[in-house]
Amino acid sequence: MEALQLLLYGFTVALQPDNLLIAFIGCLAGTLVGVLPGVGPVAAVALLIPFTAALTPLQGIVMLAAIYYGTQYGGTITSVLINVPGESASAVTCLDGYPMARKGRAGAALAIAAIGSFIGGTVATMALVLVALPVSALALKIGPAEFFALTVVGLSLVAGLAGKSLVRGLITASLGLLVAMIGLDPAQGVPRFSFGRPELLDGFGVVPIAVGLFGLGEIFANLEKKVTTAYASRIGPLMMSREEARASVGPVARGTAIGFSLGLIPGIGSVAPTFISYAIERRLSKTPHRFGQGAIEGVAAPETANNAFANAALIPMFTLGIPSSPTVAVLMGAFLMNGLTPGPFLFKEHPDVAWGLIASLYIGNVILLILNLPLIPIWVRLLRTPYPIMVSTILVLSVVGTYAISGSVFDVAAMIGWGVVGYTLKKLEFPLAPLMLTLILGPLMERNLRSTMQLAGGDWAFFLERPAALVLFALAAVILFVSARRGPKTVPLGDSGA
Amino acid sequence: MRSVVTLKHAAVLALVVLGIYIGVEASKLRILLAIGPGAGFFPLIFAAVLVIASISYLFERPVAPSEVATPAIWGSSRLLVVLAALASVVVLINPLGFRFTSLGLQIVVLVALGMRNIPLILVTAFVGSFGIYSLFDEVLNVRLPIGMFGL
Repeated sequence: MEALQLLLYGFTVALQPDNLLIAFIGCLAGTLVGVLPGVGPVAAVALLIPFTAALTPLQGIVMLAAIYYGTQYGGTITSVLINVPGESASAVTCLDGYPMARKGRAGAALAIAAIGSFIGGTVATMALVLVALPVSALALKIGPAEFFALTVVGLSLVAGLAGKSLVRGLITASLGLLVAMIGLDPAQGVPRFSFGRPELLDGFGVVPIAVGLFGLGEIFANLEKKVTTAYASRIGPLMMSREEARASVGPVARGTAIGFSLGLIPGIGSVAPTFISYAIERRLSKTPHRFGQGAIEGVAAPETANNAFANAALIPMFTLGIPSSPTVAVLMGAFLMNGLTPGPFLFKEHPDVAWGLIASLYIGNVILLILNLPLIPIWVRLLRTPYPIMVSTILVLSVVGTYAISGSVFDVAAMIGWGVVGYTLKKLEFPLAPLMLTLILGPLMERNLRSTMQLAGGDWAFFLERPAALVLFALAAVILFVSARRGPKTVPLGDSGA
Repeated sequence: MRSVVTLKHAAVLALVVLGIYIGVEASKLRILLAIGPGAGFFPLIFAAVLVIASISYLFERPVAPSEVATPAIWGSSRLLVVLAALASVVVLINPLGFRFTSLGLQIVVLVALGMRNIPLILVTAFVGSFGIYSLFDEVLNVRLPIGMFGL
């Protein structure tokens, strides 16, 4: 009941006209980013952080969150209409969405994607409301030792689940952790790996790394390919038949459950829930031969899972202050830049921000449902933008967006350098997600360990007196062991931009 | 596949060298204090993980790459041109200002990516540079460099 009252309070904040407008703009921008191939949600959220400089912290976070889940909606449009996923989580939608479009059923595919996404996103947000207070209250009771152990579990999940192999995950995870160490040591105040450069005393910013790795890296990789665009002939009516609606009920329900459950686990990434959801529907179907030929279940399930995942991934950030995906890691960076610390204290110290944002998640899902379907012809027109124009515009926005953070050319140079790193990692098929996640987790880990040791007076045996921490350490070891035994995978998990 | 293997070896070497360098630098910081980890503790541990993981990667059985690693020649040259253009932005943005630097960047990128319609190139570049400057300067109140000529 308390949660419902606080949610109502959140609605009074979120429904203020300027906050509503901000959410609308964010949803529009997010859908646009999702529609345009070449910039995924990570780079988009990072790139648009400077645009929120003139806003209040709540408005800035509301806009960035709206962009985040807006991209999930937008990516579907290109998957269905031109067989090119706007972002990686929408890749599986191409399998049945595009065949539906070729049969003149694009409207039905887009409709079920929008409705399924709305249901998945809303259910995940309702779950956030239910668990927010109890989990954050529990989190307030646990000490730095348990938090340290939790970050170790988070790291093991990120390294073990992301990408094609544990080894590659560990490499990029350790790179992220090392990058996070650059700057002044938080306890002793000594510079670490700053090479005498004052710009590095605060370390690398989240924006240059995110835009470079995920934005420029993607563009550099695409420069090596010839880009062609195909267009679907017509969208058709935006309505499903009764049979299609009935056939979608089960997939939407299952997609919600799958996306939600996996969204709680750091490192999974948004691609895995969509593939798993698709595979399960195909397995459960009495007519599996229809999959790949335009089965509506093949669109309903992954799109629902996608959005349920995106909203559920916010839960660990809100309740524990642990990011579960690279985009959420960038969102956390935005929180920190606005002087807010996501986690259990956010509900206590800034309830207007916490509950205002949660309420805006509901509102955003409604906006996206209403917005997307009528605006499809506009998105289709945008897709006809020549690729060189898209790339040159994105490059300029990357430069100006990165520069605008602190007025530093060094950040622009860093972004380009990270773009080269991102390109190289992609060529070697290393997952990028662990690098982004450990960039945020690393300082949390260090801070909590040092706090623990201060409390313990430097006695490492202190951990033996914390059974919850020991259990979490054991869990981390099991995760790494299972990941190591599994060996290299052909289908990567977690290696997406979301 | 052969170029992927070569790239792999180069990457392992770079990562191992990086890890060793970081480990050596970290060991010059305090590793342990009386009350727990020092400034060099975590960098040393993560550097060790990086080195061990990189060497293990060398022996990992190859997963077939989803894309051919050897880029087509036109692809590489486009990439190099765009990289050079971006590097030039870093050097020139303060002396020449944002507007002219981004104008140049866009023209180079559009031509490098195969656009040949000169009016469209110029319009796109102008809107993308002067337009974005106006957006940031007048709407978002973000100051961008104007260069030594004040343009």
